[in-house]
Amino acid sequence: MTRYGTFWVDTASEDQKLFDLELAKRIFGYTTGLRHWLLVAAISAPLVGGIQLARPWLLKQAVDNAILPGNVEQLILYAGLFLAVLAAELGGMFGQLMLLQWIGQRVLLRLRTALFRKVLSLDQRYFSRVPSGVTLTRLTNDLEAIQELFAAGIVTLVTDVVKLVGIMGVMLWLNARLALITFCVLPLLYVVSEFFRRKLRRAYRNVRQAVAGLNAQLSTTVEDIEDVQGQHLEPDLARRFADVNDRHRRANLDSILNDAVLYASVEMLSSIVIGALIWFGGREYLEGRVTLGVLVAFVEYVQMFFVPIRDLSAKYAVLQSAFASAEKVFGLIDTQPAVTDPENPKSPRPEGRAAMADVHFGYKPDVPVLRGIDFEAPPRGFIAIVGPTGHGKSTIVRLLRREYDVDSGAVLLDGVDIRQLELDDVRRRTLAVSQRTFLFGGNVRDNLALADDFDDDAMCEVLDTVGFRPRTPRPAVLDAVVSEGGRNLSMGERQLLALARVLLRDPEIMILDEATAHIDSETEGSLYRVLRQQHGARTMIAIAHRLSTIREADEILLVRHGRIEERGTHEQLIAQSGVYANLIRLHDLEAAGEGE
Amino acid sequence: MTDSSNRFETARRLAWPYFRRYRGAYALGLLFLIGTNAAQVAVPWLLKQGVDLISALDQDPDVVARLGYVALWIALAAVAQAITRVASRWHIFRTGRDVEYEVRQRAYDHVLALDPAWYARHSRGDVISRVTNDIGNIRLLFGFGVLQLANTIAAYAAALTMMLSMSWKLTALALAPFPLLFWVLRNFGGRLHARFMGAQQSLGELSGFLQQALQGMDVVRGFGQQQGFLERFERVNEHNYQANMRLAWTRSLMAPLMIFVSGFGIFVVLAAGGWFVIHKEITIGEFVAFQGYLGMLVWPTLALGWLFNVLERGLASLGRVDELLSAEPVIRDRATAREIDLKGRLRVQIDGLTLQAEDGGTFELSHVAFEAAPGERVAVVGRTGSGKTVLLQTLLRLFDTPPGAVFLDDVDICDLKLETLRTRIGYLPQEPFLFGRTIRDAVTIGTNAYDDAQIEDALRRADIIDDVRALPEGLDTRLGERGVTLSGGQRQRLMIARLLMTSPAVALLDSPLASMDFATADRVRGELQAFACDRTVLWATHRLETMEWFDRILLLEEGRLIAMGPHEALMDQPLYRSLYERQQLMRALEQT
Repeated sequence: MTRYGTFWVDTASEDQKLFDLELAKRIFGYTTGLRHWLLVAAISAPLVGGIQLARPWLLKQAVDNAILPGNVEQLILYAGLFLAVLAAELGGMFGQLMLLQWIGQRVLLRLRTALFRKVLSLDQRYFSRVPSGVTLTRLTNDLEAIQELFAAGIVTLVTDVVKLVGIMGVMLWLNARLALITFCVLPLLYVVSEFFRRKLRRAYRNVRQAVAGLNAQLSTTVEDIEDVQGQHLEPDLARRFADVNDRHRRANLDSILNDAVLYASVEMLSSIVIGALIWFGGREYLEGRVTLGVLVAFVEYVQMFFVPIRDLSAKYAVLQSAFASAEKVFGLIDTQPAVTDPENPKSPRPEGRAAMADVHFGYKPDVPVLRGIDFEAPPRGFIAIVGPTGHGKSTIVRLLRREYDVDSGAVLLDGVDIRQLELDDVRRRTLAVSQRTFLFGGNVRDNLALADDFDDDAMCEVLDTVGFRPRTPRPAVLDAVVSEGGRNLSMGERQLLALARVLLRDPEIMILDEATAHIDSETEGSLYRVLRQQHGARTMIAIAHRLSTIREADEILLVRHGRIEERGTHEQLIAQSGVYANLIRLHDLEAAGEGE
Repeated sequence: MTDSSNRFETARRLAWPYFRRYRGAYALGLLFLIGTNAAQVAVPWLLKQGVDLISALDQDPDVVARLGYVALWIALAAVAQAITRVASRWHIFRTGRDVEYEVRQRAYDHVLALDPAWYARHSRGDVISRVTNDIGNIRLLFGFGVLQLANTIAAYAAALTMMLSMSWKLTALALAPFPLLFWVLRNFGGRLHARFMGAQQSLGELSGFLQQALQGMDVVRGFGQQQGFLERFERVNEHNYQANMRLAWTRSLMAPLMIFVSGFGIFVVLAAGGWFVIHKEITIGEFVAFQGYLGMLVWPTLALGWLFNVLERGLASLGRVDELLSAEPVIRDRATAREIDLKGRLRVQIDGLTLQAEDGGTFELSHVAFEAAPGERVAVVGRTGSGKTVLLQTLLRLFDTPPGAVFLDDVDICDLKLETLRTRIGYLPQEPFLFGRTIRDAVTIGTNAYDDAQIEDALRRADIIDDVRALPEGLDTRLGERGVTLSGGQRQRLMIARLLMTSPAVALLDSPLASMDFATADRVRGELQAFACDRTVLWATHRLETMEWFDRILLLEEGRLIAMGPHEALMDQPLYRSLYERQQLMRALEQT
């Protein structure tokens, strides 16, 4: 289990541009095949916004032409029209919302696939640098935020703006003086809502941060309860939790207050405007410059008009966070792996020949790890690599499988530089049992077959070969549950499953980067048996700390300080009485086989 | 017991105490809510006065002045409405947050008190969900739920009174579709919630898949499984898309429904109200006022759809959180637990301790017996999985230690208060996890050290001071995703610094030097040994170095104590001897 640094999570800051044309273009690039629908949405936006203007106007017509003159026929006409407009509005709105969400979800689907495809193509350098949690956030939360651009973003913003402009136009047309009196309040409305929105944004940010802190502390406490109680951290943790909990509460109280004031003051302003309409409009009416219907329509328009203005800046926030996320997502899409497939891949006949020719390599430019490694594993040969920890043994394996490219020299597979082979080809030819075995949550079958197809008999057979002793009778062993990371299995069992996973695929070259720390003697026995059995059946390259397993190797390489210091068969090296001979003495001392 | 009486019982037992406790705030909130609604119904009524005034068209010279009064009263009602609205929301929503705060704190405190054995039998994810999601539902119940319930009742009472006073016929007609509407909204609310949860669940599945794929990326790439995983991903992604589209259908109905509720009422008033105006049953002012009243009912009506769900979920969540709060830890203070004064060096005595694994299978420890005199330095050695960690954790009662097996100064640890036990024992876990936001937090947690000099001294002794100083903000450098990530060795040394700032009577060190190189380990070992001098120490280790320093060494093998004695005596034991010589050679090899 990898334990990640701390329980604190920060949420990103939000100094982001409102609209980023470059990013918008790139998102637009994922709408192929949907563009005519996007066009429909774009055209329908003003229509849906515009149709909402009709109802107050119909009300005015009804009051002036039907109700006041007492004309029942006209009343029926306007009531009918009103119902028709209402139906059109409902239909239009539903259609538009549905369309936008559909487009948003389609784009999300595509972007997510594109992003995951990209992630699958990245190399070890990326994964050793970026914690998997960060990549996960890109693939989930960030994409969801982009999708909001469609569902709640640009088009609805357009609809709102069209509606506002339309209302203002109609009001001016109905009665310019009354309209201008109404508009007097607009700057005030804008200032008030912007003022409180700002405060609200800050409050929300504090809330989010506190929530992240609460959740993170809660989950690490629950996950590591043994450490917490063993060190008696409870009182301190409770106190810290109370702090964050209290900050959370206060940030929320802040948002409650500001939200209530914003809501109430917009409501108040609209009522005051209605009062002003009665005052001025009434006098206009008495002087015959306006009809009663216009006044009624104005009252309706005023109420329609305030809410979108109040919510305008909330929609900004959606846009902002969408673009902030888009920047991160496209940053990842633009990441180029250093290790890539060649343009014209070669495919040499599989023989099982692996070699390194004067390989130099370092993870960082100024820290060399390998300084001139030369060796060749002939077909069906058995090469063992030994040496102290941290001197480059595992790096050799990584280079053999092209997880990194060499700085100079070359790695050859069946006589061809592996940079000329397809990556998948390289990896399928050289399967490895690595030190850190990862098992997926699921069952034994899932972990053996992965995404390939194998029949149950073959899988059971290979489990027998490695000596994975099922607690359940066959073939149920394949259905035995494996919990995430293989936590319900012992280290040894995990190793054996990993070995079975490799043998099942019958690779031409099998690499064993042996786990050192947690292997019990039983597992070691199994590994040793398999190794002897496979000797001569395929090429094997084994990194070993347990030397009993490799005495029969065709060649043993002693790697220290990034160089091969000694090489030869077991007997030759013993005769040299160098470091290897010392190691063997060490090993013999380990009568009981303890590993560090 | 039927479902609804069950829910009533939950409400009475679990929700009622909170209502009682916060009755003052609720009463104030409700009072202001009534004020809001009173002010709100006044506006259409005043509007009616104004419209009727001007439409009468009599040449009353006072008309303009009276119109002015109407406008003024509208403005006053608007101000009153705003003030009472803010006040009512403040009191009721705040109470929701207060309840949330309180329940969350109680739940977290309880989470801290439940023992590892309890966690082994329960899903940790479920515990987390109860403390996050369920508490969110509880807050909605006590805040939003209460406010909306009261507001709906008040708004209906106020608007209906006014409407009925103008025309009972028009009121009846305008409200005729409402029962149907309630039914639709109620179902709609339920469906929206169900589909929302469906979408959340499928997002959870997607995240779960991605998380595993990312963590197992070595295997995915190493076995050339990219294509296969991409195909699986596409299935999960498609499934998530489907769930979201199902939600979209329902979600897209929300805004149209809202417009329908308000629009249809206005239609009724237009058609029927217009008819009544023509037939002089109501005035044109009342016609206008009716529109206002129906507008006032839109939101409370819509909220009803959510309200029932909020109340139901809140009560269910109260039940679930209560279940968590009622869980009893197995390892806890006995009624007779003592808080004795354990000072100085303590004698640790283990008497035939046998501990079986949680699943009832193999024994983790069997018949372990030894005694460590006060101030004795004891090493615990053995292979991986031989029971070293379990032995140390048993002394802390992290396992359910049987009574009569472990004693501190002749007191059975089962008779001690857990707090006494764990504060008198200093424990350094094998794989240290840093609890804190900054390095300072992580190092000082559970200690009383708050001054920089003290902290820096400890950091220096743990040989981590240079690493900390090299960080951009030193002690206040943030840890984690947007801060620094520390290596295992660095974390271990930080935790050693933390330990050095405490003064326990017994120190349990679980492989404290495991992830350090030899040179660092040598420096830190010296400080740890100095620290151990004043107390009884049990030191589990893989590294058999300076073993002469220990008074006694316990050699464990498969949970059994197979040998015990000072270093020289144990050199005759084959396993011990091989472990020891191996260490010597490793060091020699590393240093050549």
